[in-house]
Amino acid sequence: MFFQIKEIILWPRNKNFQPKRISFKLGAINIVTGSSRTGKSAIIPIVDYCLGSEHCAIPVKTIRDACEWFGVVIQTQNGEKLLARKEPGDFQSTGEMFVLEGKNIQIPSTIKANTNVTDVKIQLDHLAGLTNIDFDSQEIGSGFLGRPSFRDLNAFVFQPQNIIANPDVLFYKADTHAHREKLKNIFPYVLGAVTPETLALMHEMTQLKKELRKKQAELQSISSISERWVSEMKAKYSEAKELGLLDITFPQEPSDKDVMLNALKSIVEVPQASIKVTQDSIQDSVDELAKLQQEESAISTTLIGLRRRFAEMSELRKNASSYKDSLKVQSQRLKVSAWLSESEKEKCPICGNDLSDSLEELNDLLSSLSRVEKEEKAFENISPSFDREYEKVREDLRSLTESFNGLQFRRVALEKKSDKYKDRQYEIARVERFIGNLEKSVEIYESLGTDSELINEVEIIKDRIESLSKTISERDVKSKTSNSLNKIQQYAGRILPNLDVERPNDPVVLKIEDLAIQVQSNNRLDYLWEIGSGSNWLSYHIAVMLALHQFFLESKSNPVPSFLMIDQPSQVYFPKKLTERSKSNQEVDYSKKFDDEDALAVRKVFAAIAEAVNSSKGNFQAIILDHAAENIWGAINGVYLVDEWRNGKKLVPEEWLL
Amino acid sequence: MSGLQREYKNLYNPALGSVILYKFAEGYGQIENKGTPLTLLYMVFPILFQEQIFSLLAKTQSSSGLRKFINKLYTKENSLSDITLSLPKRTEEFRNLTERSLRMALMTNLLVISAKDGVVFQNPKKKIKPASVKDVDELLKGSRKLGKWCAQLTLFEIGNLLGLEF
Repeated sequence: MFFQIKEIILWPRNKNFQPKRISFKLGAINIVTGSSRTGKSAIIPIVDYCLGSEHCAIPVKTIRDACEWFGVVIQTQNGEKLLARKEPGDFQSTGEMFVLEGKNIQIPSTIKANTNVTDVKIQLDHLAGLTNIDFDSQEIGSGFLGRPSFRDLNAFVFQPQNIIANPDVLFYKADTHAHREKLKNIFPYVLGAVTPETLALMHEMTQLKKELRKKQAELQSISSISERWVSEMKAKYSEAKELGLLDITFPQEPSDKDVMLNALKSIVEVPQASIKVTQDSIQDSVDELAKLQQEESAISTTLIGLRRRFAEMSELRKNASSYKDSLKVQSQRLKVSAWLSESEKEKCPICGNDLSDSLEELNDLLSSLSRVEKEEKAFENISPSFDREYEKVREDLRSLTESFNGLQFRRVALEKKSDKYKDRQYEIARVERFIGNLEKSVEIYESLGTDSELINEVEIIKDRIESLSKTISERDVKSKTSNSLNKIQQYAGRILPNLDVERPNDPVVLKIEDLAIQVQSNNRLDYLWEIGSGSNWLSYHIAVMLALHQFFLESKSNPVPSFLMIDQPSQVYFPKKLTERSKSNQEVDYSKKFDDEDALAVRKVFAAIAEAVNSSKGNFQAIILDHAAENIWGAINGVYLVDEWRNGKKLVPEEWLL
Repeated sequence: MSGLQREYKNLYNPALGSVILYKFAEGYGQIENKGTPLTLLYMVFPILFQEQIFSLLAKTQSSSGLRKFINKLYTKENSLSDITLSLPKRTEEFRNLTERSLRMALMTNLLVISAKDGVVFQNPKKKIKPASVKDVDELLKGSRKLGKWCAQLTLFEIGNLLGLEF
């Protein structure tokens, strides 16, 4: 997803000062260089906080004492977005946020909250076009199986100081159990191996399995009722003989079930006696009938709405240009000015008067509308995610149609019953009761007769389950994941020889189960922590992160933001110089020649990142926060110096602290 | 005339429409006394006359704002993410009613147009009594609320939220 950092902004508590703005270049390798304790390492926490992090990791004291709001301006395909969040004071974080969007936004000098972090996170999920279907297709209820969120994607864009050369942890925030588990679950989705469609099918499969269990249980219960019913019917047959409702031509013991049933049905169907229908019994039937008709009409209206919605969604799916794994829809313009200008020529479309009276006014109106339309052109396309809605509406349609059919069945039965009230006449109370009961029993039998229908339904569900299991085979997901990982590993393999690494030609393996890197040697795979040296760890981190982004960039609809922020990549090379500084208590002069091996190794890191940025043709941005000065990276193509914080110059201006 | 036809005629009539637009402009003007961009009026009926959107809008506090309201569509509970995507099509479907209602509102001086700026103003001298029919009253309140929410954002931001361009 095209999502790059344009600016970071700090609003001071002291209103006499203007906000501090740090501008970054899009599609470039941006460097903030400077000494220790100048605020470089606060940049990642500031961006993370403004993108909705749970806690505020911006260092306390100096920075948080001086600033009231932190902000970040994001460049997206849908224009610029300023996301600002209030300094949390004594709390771990605050939900108060300010959002401003526009083609070119004007940074306000003061800020007042206009939204909250929850809403910002929802908007970011939507912007990234993340599917809203969760991974919990088995309905386990685990929080780690929730829908992928924008927050999960930060694992791919931040490499702070404690991660960049960490042999144990590869991804940002993957050192906590919750983040690790969630990241592992969403990884196949981010790699495009699990698509929203697969997720939807998985959910459908769970629903179908539930449905199958229900129908099978129904079938089971009908079979047992059937046996009970036969014995009851035998008793009723004898009673009917006793009452004289079955004449002598009927055998005392019926030869089989069908003969017995036909005999009993003939009693129910033939009018036996005069009717005794009370006003109340008719009224009850009429009331019930009216109620059923009302329900039927309500469901029918809902069904019409759902069908329309489903058709619209299907149409959107069909028309949307489908990239690898999600939809892109061309944004639609209203063009009100075009509507107005195409209205009746002789009448004003607005006031309805003759145009001769108001032609000038209409022209004014049209030109002002065209101006607005020109100014407000915002974006090329949107990434709609309505996978969950699509499945929900489909399921609602199915279940509502079933209810509708049920209602119709009940209504028809009731109508029949009402008719029968009118037609049939019972004189003898016992006969009346008997026939009433018999009628019920016959009805039950008739519902038993539908078991073939039920068997049919069970078969249909079984077929669908079988066909779904072929489409969503776990093996298929695994093979797709492994294909994507192979690609990433290949990309990393091409980057590694350009970095300072001991085994540049040994294949690298990204293992999702452990969220870790392994390096292959003859017969074994070595985890990063089994390989020594900070320089190796750093190189593998750099290579894999760049390879991941290269992979993400190849898919136009990948949700991962297209930037990478790295803090202190040179840390593994410069402890020597840092020690000199602490001994002499003076700044290390990084501008002095660094022609030793360490300097060369650091230059390689910058060059590898620059190569990835440059080959993306503006679609990828890197931001590096480092001690290393211009003499290390200055000559590298595509590098942009954001700012140099030395000799008293810092993230937070000194005067803010006075 | 069947009940459904009668309901259709009652709802889709320009007289009611003109009052709905008046209420929208009233809500819009509540913030900094701004004129309502004409373009926005075309969004009013497609939003208010969509059952699920309207019932959610009626339940959303006036202080929440359009962002919060649109975010509600995306929640699992409501699952209405697709609804905004059909708005452009619905705007076209409601175009006739919008224009007839606007014409009536201008003829009856409920709204005053400033052609140079492409905006309309609600005429404060015209007072609309609360509707005696509860459903209509809710519709008018909803329109006013929607107008107020729109005034808090730029057209760019509204377009971004609704996934369309003006």
